[in-house]
Amino acid sequence: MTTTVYAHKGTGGWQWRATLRLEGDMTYWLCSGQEGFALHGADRMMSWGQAIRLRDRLTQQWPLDAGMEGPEAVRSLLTNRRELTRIAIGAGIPPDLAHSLDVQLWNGTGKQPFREQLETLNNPNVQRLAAQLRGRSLFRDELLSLCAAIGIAAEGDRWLALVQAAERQGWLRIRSGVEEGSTERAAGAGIMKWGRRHAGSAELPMRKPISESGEKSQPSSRWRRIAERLGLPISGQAPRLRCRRCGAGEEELRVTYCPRCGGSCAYCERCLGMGRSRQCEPLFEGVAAGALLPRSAPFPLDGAEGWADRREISPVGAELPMSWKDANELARAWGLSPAQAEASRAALAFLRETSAGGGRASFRHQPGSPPEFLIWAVTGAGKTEMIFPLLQHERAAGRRVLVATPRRDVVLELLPRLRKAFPNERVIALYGGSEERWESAELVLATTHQLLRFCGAFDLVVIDEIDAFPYAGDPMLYHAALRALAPGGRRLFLSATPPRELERRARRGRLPHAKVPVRYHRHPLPVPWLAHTPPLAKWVRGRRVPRALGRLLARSLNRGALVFLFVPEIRWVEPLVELLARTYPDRTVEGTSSRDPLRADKVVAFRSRRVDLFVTTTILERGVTVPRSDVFVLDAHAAWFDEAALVQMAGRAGRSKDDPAGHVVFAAAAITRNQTGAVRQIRRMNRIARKEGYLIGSSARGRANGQSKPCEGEANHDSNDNGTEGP
Amino acid sequence: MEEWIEGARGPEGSLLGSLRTALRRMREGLWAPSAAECLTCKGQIKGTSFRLGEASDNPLGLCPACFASIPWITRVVCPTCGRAEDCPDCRRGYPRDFVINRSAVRYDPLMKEWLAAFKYRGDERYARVIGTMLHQAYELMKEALPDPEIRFDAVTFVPVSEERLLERGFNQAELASAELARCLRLPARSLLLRTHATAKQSQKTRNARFFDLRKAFALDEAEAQRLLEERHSPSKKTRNNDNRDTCEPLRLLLIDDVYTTGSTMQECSSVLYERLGAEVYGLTWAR
Repeated sequence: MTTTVYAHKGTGGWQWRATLRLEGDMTYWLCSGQEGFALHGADRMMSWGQAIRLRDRLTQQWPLDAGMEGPEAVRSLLTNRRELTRIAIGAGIPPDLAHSLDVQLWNGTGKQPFREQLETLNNPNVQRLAAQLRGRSLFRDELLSLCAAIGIAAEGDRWLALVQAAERQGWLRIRSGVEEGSTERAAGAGIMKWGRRHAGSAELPMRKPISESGEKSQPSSRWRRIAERLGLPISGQAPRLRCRRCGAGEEELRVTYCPRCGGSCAYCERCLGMGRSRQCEPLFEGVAAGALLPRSAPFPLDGAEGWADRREISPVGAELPMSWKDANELARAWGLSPAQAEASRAALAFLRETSAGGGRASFRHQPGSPPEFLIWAVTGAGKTEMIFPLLQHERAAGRRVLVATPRRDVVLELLPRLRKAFPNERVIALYGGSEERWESAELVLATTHQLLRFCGAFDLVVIDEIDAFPYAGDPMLYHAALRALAPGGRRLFLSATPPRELERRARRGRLPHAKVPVRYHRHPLPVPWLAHTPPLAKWVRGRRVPRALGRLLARSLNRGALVFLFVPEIRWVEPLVELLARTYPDRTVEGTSSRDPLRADKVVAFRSRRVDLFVTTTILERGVTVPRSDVFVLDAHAAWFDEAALVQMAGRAGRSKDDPAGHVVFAAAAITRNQTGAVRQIRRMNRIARKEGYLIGSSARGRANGQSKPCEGEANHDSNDNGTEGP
Repeated sequence: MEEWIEGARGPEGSLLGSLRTALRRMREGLWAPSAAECLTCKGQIKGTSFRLGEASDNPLGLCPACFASIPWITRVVCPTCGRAEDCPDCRRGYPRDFVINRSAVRYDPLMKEWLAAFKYRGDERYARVIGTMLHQAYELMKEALPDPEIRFDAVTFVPVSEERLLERGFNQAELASAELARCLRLPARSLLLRTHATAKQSQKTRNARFFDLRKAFALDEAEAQRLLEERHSPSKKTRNNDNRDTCEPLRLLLIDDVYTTGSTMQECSSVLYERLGAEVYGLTWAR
């Protein structure tokens, strides 16, 4: 491993480059008859992070004239060694190494190309590796296990030779885990607005003053020069560091001493769980699928036919027979309910318009962010079925699709369904510890964290349950979802309770969306009933259940329903199970929480109706479907239960066709805004469904509605709820 | 903080916008309870007020639940290695070139998890936790020694091979010893070198551990020389105001993360004993 910076003179003039393995690059340029020179340290090497920083600084601050010959260029560096040392120190290279930097011309040294280097130039494994790496973003360890998985011998330095050869071909880029803010506007939307602006302006003094902000900074430029000469950090002007993989800013990076750098080096604390992303750690990014591959060379691909070719052959816009645009047709082909079919149709129209060739701008989306679409479907609407036609549409056009769900068990549950729906397609599932980690497929099902291992890979990313636990409020995963998109890629969000920001954008017409206000069985959602009970703390360790609650529980048990009891905190689970077991000795009572090692078994028991009363926390608020179940939310006033959680928990009831009218009870000591909000949201969806004629006849909901306490604030629902803004 | 200052003077930031940001910052910073994150369970540490400099109730900055689940060694059974239960290894009578060893915690699954997060995942924040926890081992050692006024000359640590250092990016024992040295106000010295890389100790059997480590360590001559010179330098003598240290042996605290069979500790201390004539006292984080 000889990590260093060199310059070579190609057809377009001199170019500064950083390499992990100088021998390979030198051989390559020697063979193609290009002259050049490399920087050498006296007794040790710079780290990769230092090398790319030095390359960037030299590119900016030391442009080499295209007319210059090699020896002349070397002389220009050697006569100005102080400047070179200064730039090297500015790039974070330790002073002793910076002072010892020497410049060596490679065609003057009489070096012969290394034989083994020549071999790697024509090694077919370079192409194989590059094909596997497309759209991926991996660190060394991950790359090595990828090599092992596809049978490429990578021992010693051989993998480096392969990787470096692929980099010269432009098939992959070698970045570093933590980078200085670059001009490349990565994801992060508005969050990094200020930081990025400053990162950009840090480069200004070195370029020609091109903008007025360059002039504005004139008064301080003298101080900056002095500070630079002294090697002091320049406040507000130093380039900001950023984790290349997860997008974390400086507040989540940690700078420590690093033996590789011989000095300070930053690592990212936010994505530590996925392996350490470090400033001196090379990050290998396969280029966007099909983007930069040389047309002439037939590129070896995983499948039988080439991805890039397939994409060109299929004319965009004519992927599907025209009749598919019709919602009825869709419904028949995929067995969708009218509401599902309508949402699918709207989403399909969106996909067609935003595909590479489409581009009639009738869908408004946020400037600077990829096209996005939201399917806002109530709990139990059958979201998965709705996306099948979309996946088929994308696959027919030869695009790569990723479906991200929050949890591993959802991935495992969804996988057989996808495989059944697409029997001719290779579908792989990625999650922590997945066997198919290094296989490549055009249709990928993954947990959201796996998105971090991709960049520029997918033309459509579907994110299920956008508001659910690991995704909500985690800017890392938002960033990952953006980064995994190929240029021109689209995002599709699925949610029953979209986060406030998306909801607002949808309401203001800035986010194209489709609402599915009814469940697949076309019965209205059960409206929660607000019951007044004392807080749990008052009675859970006592002798009996409050009378109001007892009556409601008895009603549910007598009608033969299974009862979900949600409590806000884990510590209530056990005492409540004890109390219920005492109160209902002839019923089986179980309880579980995230701390319970037997959780999976207990959920299975509940599903198979061996448990009558099941006490749990919000861990089971979504994803669990138990036919004929009723829901009780105890202490519904707890701050922990926000509106979305209440709607999700209420959504556990009445999901099956046989028992569409389950009971939902919010038992609380006080009526809070969250409770009324949840009730309002559910009622609004029911109303829209009725208006659109999605409901079967008029079902027997009057009873439940009549009994529940009235909730105020019904008037201000939005009036433009009629589906989408499609063409 | 930074954000709103910048926002306030930014050319595009309207006055209203910056005011709003300032208000939001204030609301988040002042009225919301400070939500410190527990390092080990990633949960929020509740009940932390904004009394300055007081992260939580314990010095490790962990949440009370995590702090309570640390398996501290409070009662030592084996007088040699500091194990909290009967220790067949020490009864077997292997040679010991260190005086005693003391450990802070039992190496239970939770501690394994922590050490893995530190060593293998590379979360260097654990250095502070583990280094501070070594204090408990130090206290146990003081209890066991006849002279409670005993003074140590320096803290040193078990080295890792160059190769592993570059791979991992740090030496966990070194970071922990630096933390402890700071607490005890002793110099931390890198007195040992690893001469040949061995396979990871954690992947070997008992016997392989003993035999593999033979001659794996050597003295760092330059560092040792520096330590001895400092010790005999007049400035040090006047500060200590007595002549004890000239006749007393060199006393070193040797830090490692886990003491399993004691073979690493033994090999390191035999080098220090043979080459420097030092009395070596072992402090390990887990036993």
